[in-house]
Amino acid sequence: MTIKTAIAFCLTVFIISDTVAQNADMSYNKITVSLSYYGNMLIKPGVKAGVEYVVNQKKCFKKNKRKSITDLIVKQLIVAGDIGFFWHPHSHIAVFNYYTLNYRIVKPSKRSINTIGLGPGVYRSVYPKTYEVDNMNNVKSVSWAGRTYFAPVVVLGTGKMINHYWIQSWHFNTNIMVLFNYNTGFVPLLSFDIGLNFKFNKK
Amino acid sequence: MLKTIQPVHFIISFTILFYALFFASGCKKEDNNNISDIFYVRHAGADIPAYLYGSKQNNVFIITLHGGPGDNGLEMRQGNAAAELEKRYVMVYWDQRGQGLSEGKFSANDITIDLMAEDLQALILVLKHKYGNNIKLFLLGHSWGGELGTAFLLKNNYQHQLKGWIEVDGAYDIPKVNIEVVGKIIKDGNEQINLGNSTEKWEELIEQVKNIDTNNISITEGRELNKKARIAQKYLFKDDITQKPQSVTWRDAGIFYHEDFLTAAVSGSWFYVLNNSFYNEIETASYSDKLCKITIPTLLLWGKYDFIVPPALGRNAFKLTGSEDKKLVIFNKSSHSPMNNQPEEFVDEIIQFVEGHQ
Repeated sequence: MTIKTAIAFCLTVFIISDTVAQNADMSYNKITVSLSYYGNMLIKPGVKAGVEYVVNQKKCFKKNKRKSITDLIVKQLIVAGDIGFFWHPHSHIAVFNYYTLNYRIVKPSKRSINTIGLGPGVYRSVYPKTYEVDNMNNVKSVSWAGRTYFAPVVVLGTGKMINHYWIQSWHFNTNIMVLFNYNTGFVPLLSFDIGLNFKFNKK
Repeated sequence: MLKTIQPVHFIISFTILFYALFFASGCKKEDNNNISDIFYVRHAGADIPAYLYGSKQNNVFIITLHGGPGDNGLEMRQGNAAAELEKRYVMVYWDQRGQGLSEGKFSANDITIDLMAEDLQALILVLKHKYGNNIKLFLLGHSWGGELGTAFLLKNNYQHQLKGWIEVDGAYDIPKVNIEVVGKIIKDGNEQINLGNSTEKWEELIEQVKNIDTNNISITEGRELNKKARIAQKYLFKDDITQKPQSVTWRDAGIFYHEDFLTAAVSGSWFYVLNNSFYNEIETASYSDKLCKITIPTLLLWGKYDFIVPPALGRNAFKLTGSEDKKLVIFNKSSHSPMNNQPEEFVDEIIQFVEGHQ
C-alpha cells in the first residue's frame, strides 16, 4: 500500500506539473524555495526543504539545424542549502543539512532543467530507545541517542519548468550522500527527492 | 488562481495520506502477549539495533545470530519458519556490530570474535534489564552466527545464562569446513553424475577441486571453495534435489522494506571482506577442540545438501559437544538454510527442543 501511495504521489506531481506548465512563461527567479518528498532508497520516507540562489547566469543561443531555429540555453551557477529528515521504518530517524554548489542548464524551449551539484553536509541519526552497557556491565538508558557524521553529497537532478504564479518548476533529484566514520569506514546513502520549487519573489 | 490551488491541494492531501499510512504502520504494537519492539544497544563504540517480534506467552526469547558476516538480522525473519516461531516465542533479531543498520565508530583492527561475543552479552544484559531476569533465553546461530555463538558459549560462564543452544549449519571450525567442502563436492558430485543430474557441470566442479591439497588449504582457496559450494547448491536446487523455498510473501516484502541492503552491503564489506585481520581470524577459527566445554542442551540442525558448511560438521559437533542433552537433525531436502527449504520440519524441531528445555 505504501509503495503504491509513493508511486501515486510521484505521478500526481508529474501530471499536475505538466498540466500547469501549458501556460508557462519561462522567466527564472533568482531565489526559489523547494519542498520535496525525500526518500532514502526511494521508499524510506522523508521531507526536504531548501533554498536556491542563482549566483551567476549566462544565456547563450544554439542553432537547431533540424528545426531551423535558435534555442536559448541558460547556464546557471547556484548555491543551495537543504535541510530534511527521513524515517527508517521501525528503526531510526535521520536528519540532515547540506549546502551545495550547483551547475544548472535550463532549456526554456523544452522547459527542461538539468542540475549537478556537490557540497558538504551533516547527517545525524536519531535512535529510538537506546541502552548503554558499560565495562562494568551496568545498563543505563540513553536519551536522544544517535550518531553525527560528516556527509558530503552529490546531487543529480532533472525537472521541468512550470512557471505558474508561484510555482517555478518541479524536480526529481538523485542524491548520493556519503557518511564518513561510519563504523570502520564510510557508507553511501542513495536517496531520491521529488518536489516543487516555489518562487520566493515573483520577479 | 484555481489552477494553482488545485495542484497544491492535491500534493498536500497525498503527502498527509502518505505519512499517515507510514506512521500508522510504524506504531509499536504490544499487548499482554504479543511484542513488537525495537531498541539499540550501545556497547564498545557500536550502536546495535535489536528487533523483537513474537509472543511473550511462554516468556521464551530466542536470540538469533545472523550469518555472513555481512548479512543483517532481519534476514533471519524472512520466511515461514520465523513467522511460525513468532507465534509462540519472542524472536530477537539484531544487526551485529558493523553490519546491517548497526552504527558506530571503531577501528577495524579492534574487531575480534571475542568483542562480538561481548556485544551479544551486552544484548542479553539489556534484554534482562528490560524484560526481567526470569526470561528464558535460547540462542540460535546460523552459519557464521554458529561460529559467533560457539565463541560466546565458550567465553566465561556465558552459556549458563541460556536454556539451550540451537546450531543451524554453524561454521564453528572453518579449516574443517574447507576440508569437508572438497570431500562433499567430490562425493555428492559423483552421486549426481551417476543419477544423470547436471553431469557436465558436476564433472567440471569436481575437476576444479579434486587436486586441492586438503592438508594445506589457504584462506584464498577457502574463499574460492565457498563460491564453489554455492554453485553446487544451485545445481541441486535446479535438479529438484533440495526443496524449493516457499515463494516470497507480503510479510517477507515488508521485512525486506525494513532492511537497507545498500548500507548493509557496504558496511558489511568494510567490516569483513576488506578487513584482513578480522577476516583471517574468522577463516582460521577452530572450536572443535573446545566443544566439550559446552554443556547446555544443544540442538544441531543441518541440511543434508549443505555444501557451505557440510553436515559432517554437524556430526562432528554432535560427537564432541560436552552436553549430555543433545540432538542432531539432518534435513534430507535442505541445503545451507533448512529454515527456508523445510520450514515446517525446522519449526517442529525447534518447538520440541524449546518446550522440552524452557
